Amino acid sequence: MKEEFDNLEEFTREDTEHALPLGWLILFIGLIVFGIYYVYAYTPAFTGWSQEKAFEESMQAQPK
Amino acid sequence: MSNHENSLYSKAVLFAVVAAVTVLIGTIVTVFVPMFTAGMHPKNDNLQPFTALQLAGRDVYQAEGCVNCHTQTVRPLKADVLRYGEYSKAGEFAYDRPFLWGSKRTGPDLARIGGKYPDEWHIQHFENPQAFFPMSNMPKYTWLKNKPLNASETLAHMKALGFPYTDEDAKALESSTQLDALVAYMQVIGTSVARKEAIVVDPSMIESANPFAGKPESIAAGQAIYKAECAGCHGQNAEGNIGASISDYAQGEPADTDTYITVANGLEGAMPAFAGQLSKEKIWSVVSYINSLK
Amino acid sequence: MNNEFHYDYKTVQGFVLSAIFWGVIGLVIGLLISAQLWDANLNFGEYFSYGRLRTLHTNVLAYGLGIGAEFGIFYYIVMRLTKRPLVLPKLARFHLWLFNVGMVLATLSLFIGMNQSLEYAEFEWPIDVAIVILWVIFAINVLGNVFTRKEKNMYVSLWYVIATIITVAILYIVNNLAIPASLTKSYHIFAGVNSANVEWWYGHNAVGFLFTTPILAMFYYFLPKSTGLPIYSHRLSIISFWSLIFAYLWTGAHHLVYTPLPDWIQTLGIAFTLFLIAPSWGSVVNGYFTVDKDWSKMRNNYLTKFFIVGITFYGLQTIQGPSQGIRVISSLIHYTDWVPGHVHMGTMGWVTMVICASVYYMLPAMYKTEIYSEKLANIHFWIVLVGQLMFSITMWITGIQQGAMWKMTNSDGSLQYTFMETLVRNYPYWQMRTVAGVIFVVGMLFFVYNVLMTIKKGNDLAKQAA
Repeated sequence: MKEEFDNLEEFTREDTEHALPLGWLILFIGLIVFGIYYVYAYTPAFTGWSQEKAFEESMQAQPK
Repeated sequence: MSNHENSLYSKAVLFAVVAAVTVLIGTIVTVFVPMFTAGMHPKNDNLQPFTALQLAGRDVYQAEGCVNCHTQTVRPLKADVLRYGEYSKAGEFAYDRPFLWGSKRTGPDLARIGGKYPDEWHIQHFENPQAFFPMSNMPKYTWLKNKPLNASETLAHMKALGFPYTDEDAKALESSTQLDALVAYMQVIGTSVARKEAIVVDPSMIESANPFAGKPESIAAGQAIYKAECAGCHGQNAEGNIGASISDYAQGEPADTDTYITVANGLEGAMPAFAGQLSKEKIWSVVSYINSLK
Repeated sequence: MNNEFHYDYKTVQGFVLSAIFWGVIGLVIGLLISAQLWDANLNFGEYFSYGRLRTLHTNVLAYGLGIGAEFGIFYYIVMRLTKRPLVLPKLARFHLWLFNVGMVLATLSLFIGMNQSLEYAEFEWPIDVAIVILWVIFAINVLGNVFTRKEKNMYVSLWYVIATIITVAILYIVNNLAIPASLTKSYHIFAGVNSANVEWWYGHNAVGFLFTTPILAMFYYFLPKSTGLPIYSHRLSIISFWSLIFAYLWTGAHHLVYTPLPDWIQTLGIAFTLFLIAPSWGSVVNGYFTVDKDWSKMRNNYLTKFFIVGITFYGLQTIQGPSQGIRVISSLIHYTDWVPGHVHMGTMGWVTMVICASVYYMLPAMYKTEIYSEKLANIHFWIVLVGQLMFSITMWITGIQQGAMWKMTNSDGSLQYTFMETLVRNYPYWQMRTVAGVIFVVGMLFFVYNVLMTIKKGNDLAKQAA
């Protein structure tokens, strides 16, 4: 029995081939911006934040 | 598709190379580069390589899949430190191949288990965890005591890792079981950091006498805590087992504050401290219960 | 357009049946260990204790069901998208046999406790060698087809297939580098913090490149094939693909939040993990907008709902997962049962859903017949959906409860609950989880029956024709 081919045309929609939904694009760029801020804020070399320091502060905040 | 005729997506080899480079960037920055920095290879000054018996025990720990239920890293978080002790330091794990930090605490964290209990506690607990904690879901590891160690295999492991051992160590393996080894491993975990409880009670921090002394509800509450946390070592009826007989102890009419401090702070190497996990009122209720035994 | 040769589907069929076989075993073990968690008396000695069986459960399902199905489905997709039969069909057949022999040996090795204790890389080095050989054989056939394809352009699914093959090879080989100590034992070549960093780089990306990219390859292929609707946006496919495979490799450290791993690696891991929401949702949006052209497909075409519900769980999974990476959320739910709840939404709701739908699509095509029963497929769908939701939701509730109980303190600074008090509160939820697991397995048995009957139908037709 002969096989039917898969033609790439059946996977591609001409009218929206290049579309990028705006909401998704905002999400994409927003997460990059937030990621840059987050790396800056929580890297010891940039801001001095460290999980040890945060721990010491949490222990002092509530004396036992 | 017509406008992609000569794109990357029509050149398979190039595509594969670009894909490989893409996945390697994050790999190099976060895994390969750190590998060659000193920060990833710290070692505590008093950290020792595993002895032959300890390594054999660690092998058993791996074989039995203990890491499925137990973590070995205390987070620098208040609740973790209260429950388990000093938070884990990078320098504690230099001989851990692989690390055994785990990802699930179906059972408690074991990073500070070394020295918390006497050997006999572990021996009995592996045999029957429910004798210590009736509602525990830990399997009974009854077969370990019947399995002698394969000494030559263990020594091959020591050699592969380059850990030193003496002839006596080698000889001792021959008369040891998997249970002995596992207990030896338990007792060394986390011991390169000094044991430190988050709450250490001294007499100035507590009332000079039990404020709930003799109250029936306090005695009942204390008995419930005793059954859940203490009976494994001190006996269901306070007759003593690994730990002292509490009835005998009560006969000696100890001061309330002494009993409180022992329960709160534990006894080094013999009894764990409970101050982190039991409120003042709960510890006093245990004292009430103990006093009711005389 | 017709061609002049036959595709050899025997290997594909063999992998589908093998995957189902190993899947049933893995699921049954899953039921047993779920019950062991609330009744320790169900641990039956050395070989049937939780520590051994939980390792078996994850490995048999990941390697047997997951990768087994991927081998078969990839061969199918790759043949069709490259418009040629496999370059080395006999090698592919050998691949199938070696896979099953390897699975038997791998299963036995875990039973006897040969366990590296590296999560999802538990197999000891002799099994690792076999797995690398399997992967190389697979790569030769797939890449061989891609390099000699009869279609100029590579479709999206092929990108994901190629990325999977390359990345898994790198991950698996690096993380399994070990100092061999004997035939049955080796030690991770990396120690301590470094060992942890390598293992979770591997562990997280094993999820990424065994349970995300391969399933996306299936999704991008079978969604258009089964609905007749072309993919909404090619550009969105491109951006999602490259940003996904770029970002994934940075994220392993989110498994090591609040451990002694250096803060900067943790922070990078968390930031990239959050970013992963975007490429993941790129595929989700692309899927939704594809079917948006004709939502009646959800009603008229029984496979559409498998793919749309599958991609929905992928979407939920990829919001929940990154959230779990954030330090404050990690501090509450890490090490609790929330995490198995999360994992099972992915594996039961996304991976298995899409694999089953792909098999439903391929079988009639390969056996030149119709599916045995659409009705049974619908029943399968609804039962596994109920089972999976019940599983995940009970785990999330008990996970949050346990995480909260671990943290709660009294006014005198001591903890409010002992460990045992936090543990026993899980039991009712764990019992519900076992019930959920039974429901899910029953649903899967409908699938297995439907598959076997479809094959029988196809074979009967072939006999009549002969």
